[in-house]
Amino acid sequence: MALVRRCSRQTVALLAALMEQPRAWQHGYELSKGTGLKSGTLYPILLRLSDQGLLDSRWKDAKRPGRPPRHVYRLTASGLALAREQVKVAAESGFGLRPMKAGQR
Amino acid sequence: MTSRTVYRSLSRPLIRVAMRVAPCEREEWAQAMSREVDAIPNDREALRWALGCLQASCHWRLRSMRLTSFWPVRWGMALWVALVAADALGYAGLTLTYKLGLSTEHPPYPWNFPWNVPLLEVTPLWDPILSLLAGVVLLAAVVLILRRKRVALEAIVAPFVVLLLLFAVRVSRPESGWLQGVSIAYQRSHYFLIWPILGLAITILICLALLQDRRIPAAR
Repeated sequence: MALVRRCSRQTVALLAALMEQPRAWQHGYELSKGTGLKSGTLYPILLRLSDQGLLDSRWKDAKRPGRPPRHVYRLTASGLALAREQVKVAAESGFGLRPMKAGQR
Repeated sequence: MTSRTVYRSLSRPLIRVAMRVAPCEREEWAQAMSREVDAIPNDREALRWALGCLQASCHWRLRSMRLTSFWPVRWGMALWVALVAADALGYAGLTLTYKLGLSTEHPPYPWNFPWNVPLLEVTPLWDPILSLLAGVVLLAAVVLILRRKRVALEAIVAPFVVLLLLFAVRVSRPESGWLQGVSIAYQRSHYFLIWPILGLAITILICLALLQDRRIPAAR
């Protein structure tokens, strides 16, 4: 049986949030609200996923004129595969997919 | 000034500090975090977001730092390793002196504590010899740390593991009195265990710092 490396609960929560809309670009704040992760936890995870080639990021112009562009994220093909695998493992073991309360890390 | 504006006005300098703290290679990400603040409608939440940005920037900064590039850190590490080396060499010297019958006199201060003759009797000769070798390698590690050589990590880890094993063998002998000392029967305070644990923690931290330095490419 192949061993699957288990990601942290926070990473699994983020992967699950990104997997919900795999084609959509999502903002950091949106992801933070969806996962309950604070910016200090969320961004190091996003950065690590991006460094590993699991996450695409780009600047997107703001809807409201005069506002600076914002960074948006979505999973790459390999990121999506990992997300599916991790979410499955987490669901089987009951690990990481509990809805996070506000302030819980 | 209402608390609303206070929260919002506090978040701006925090974001500026976070941007300044973040290393150059993470500038884009620091900017990405900071831009989100403007999109947060709640002022208190914006302040919490800014604090998180500062936390993430500090995290990135610490991870990108080559700790041995700071001379106080380097000299501190070298000093600690030199102390461990002195301890290993001191133990080796005293035990070999007894085992080889070089002297029956008690050594001078600060080593003039009563000798544990039963323990010295059961200690095999290879124990102080290994300790001596470990001490010499640790002394070499001091030089390697100061010269910022990559091999310094191995030069600390290998002898330190040997010294730990020797220590474990030594204290497990009934003649050492350690096991009796920590037992409830003697009712001795367990706080004295803080010192070996602290020493172990400091050495592990030094090893982790050297390991991190290896992962980070040297600045051009």
